[in-house]
Amino acid sequence: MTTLSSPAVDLSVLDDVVPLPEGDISGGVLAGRKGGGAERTRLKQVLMSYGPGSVLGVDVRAAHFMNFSFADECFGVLMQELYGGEAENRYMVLIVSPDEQEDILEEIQVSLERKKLAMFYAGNPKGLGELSIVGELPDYLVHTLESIQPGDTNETLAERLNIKLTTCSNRTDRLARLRLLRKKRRHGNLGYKQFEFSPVLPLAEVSL
Amino acid sequence: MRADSSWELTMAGLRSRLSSDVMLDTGEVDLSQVQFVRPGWLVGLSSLIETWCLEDRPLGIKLPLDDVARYMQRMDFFANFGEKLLYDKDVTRLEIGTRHGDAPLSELRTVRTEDEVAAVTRDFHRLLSKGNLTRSEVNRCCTVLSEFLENAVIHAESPCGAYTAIQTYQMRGNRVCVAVADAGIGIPATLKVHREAVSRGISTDGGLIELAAVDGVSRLSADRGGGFGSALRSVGRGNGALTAWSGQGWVRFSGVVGARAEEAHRFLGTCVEAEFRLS
Repeated sequence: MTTLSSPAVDLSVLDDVVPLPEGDISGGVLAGRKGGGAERTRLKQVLMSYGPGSVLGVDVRAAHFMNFSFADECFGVLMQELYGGEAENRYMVLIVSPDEQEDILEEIQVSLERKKLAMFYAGNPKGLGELSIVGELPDYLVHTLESIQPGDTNETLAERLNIKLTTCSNRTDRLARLRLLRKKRRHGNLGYKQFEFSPVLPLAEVSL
Repeated sequence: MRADSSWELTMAGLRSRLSSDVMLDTGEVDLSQVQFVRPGWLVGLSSLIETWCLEDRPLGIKLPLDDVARYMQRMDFFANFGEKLLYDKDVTRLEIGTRHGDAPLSELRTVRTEDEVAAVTRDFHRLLSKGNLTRSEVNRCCTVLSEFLENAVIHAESPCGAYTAIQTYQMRGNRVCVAVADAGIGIPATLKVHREAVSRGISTDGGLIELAAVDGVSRLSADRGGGFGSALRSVGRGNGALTAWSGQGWVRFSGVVGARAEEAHRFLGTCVEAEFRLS
C-alpha cells in the first residue's frame, strides 16, 4: 500500500458510493469466488450505468471479513477487466478503514499485486481526503502520478520530470490504463494529436 | 487394528494408526482407547469413512469411552454416519456432551457447493465472534476455513464434499483449531503435471503440497490459486501452525521453521488442520 503525497482530494464529487456487501444477507462475511464474481458483475453494472468520466466509490467498511478468493474474483478480476479497456473512462475508488480492515486491504493488495494492478483507496467517501494506492505501483509511476497537474500533456510533464518524452508517454499510458489518471485526446497547436491529463479526483489545493 | 494404550485422536494420531490402507484391510476401527479428540481427527476420519463407504463395505467402529463418545455425539459425528457404520455399543443411549468450559465449538459440517462454503463461513464467523476471540483471530480462522473448503469443493472432486470443524480449547494456553478434509483426488494428483512441478522436478507428494502453497499455482490457470498462500499468511500472522496431509505427503508449515515435509501413510483426499494460540 502506498500513500500519495499529493494534496487532499475532494471525495464529495464521487458520482455514487456503492456499499459492498449489499444488504445484510452476507452478514458482512465475504468468502469465495462465486460471491466475489457476483459482486464484480454488480459493480460493473453500476459503473456502466454512469457516463464516461464518472467515478464510483465502493464502500467495504461494513465488511467484517473478506477472504482472498473473494477479493481476487471481485477486485482483482474487475481491475484486470478495466485495465483491458472495459468500462472506458470510468474510475473507481475503494472506501475502506485501513486501520480496522487491515486484513481486508491485504487480501486486495495481494490480488492486485499478483496481477500488477493497482487502485485508489480512501478512508471516507465524503469531503476532503487523502488517496492511497493498493496493489502494485512502482515508485517511478507513483512519482509521475503525484506530479500530474490538470491540463498536463506528455510534453509538459516530461519537461517537469526531466525525462524523455517516450518514457513519459509510456508512464502516462500505463497510469491511464490502470484508471489512476484521466487521459483526454485533443488536437495540439500544430494539428497533431495530443493527450491531456488530469487527476481522477479534483485536488483540494492546487499549487501553481 | 488395536491401540496398545490410550492415545489422542489428533491428526498425528490418525496418521500413525489409521492410514487408509489399514482401514481398508481390516474393515474395523478401534477407538476404544481414545482419550482426546481434535477437529483434525474428526474431519480426517470422516473423509476416510466416506472413502470406505464408496467400497460399499460395512465398517465396524469400536467406540471410545462414554466421555469421548458423548463429545463425538455433541459434534454430530453419529448423526452424519449413523447408518453407514456398525458400532459395538448403542450410540442412541449417549447424551450430548457438554462443552468444556466456555470453549465454543462447532458441529461437524459437510460442504458440497460454493454457496455452502459461504454459508458455513458466515456461521463459523458468527460462532467464533461470540467467543472471546479478537476480530483478527476470528478472521484468521475463517480464512483457513473458507479457502480450504473452497479448494475442496472446486478442485478435489470429492464425492462427499468436504468436512469441517472448529474448536477452541485449553492446552498450554487458549488455542483454536480449524480443520478441513475431503475424500477427493488429493493435492498431489491435482498438481503432479502442473508446469511448475515439472519444471522444478517436484515429484514427491510432500513437495507437491508445498507447491500448492505458492501463489499463482493452480490446476485451473495462472490467474487462480492463492487461497492456500492466503491461509498460510494468516497462520503466520497468528504465530500458528498448519498441517496438510494428502496422498503420501505430510507437511507442517509454521512461521518459525517454515515447511517441513515427511512421508506418511496414504490419505485418500486432503486433510488440513491449523492451530493458533489465542490472546
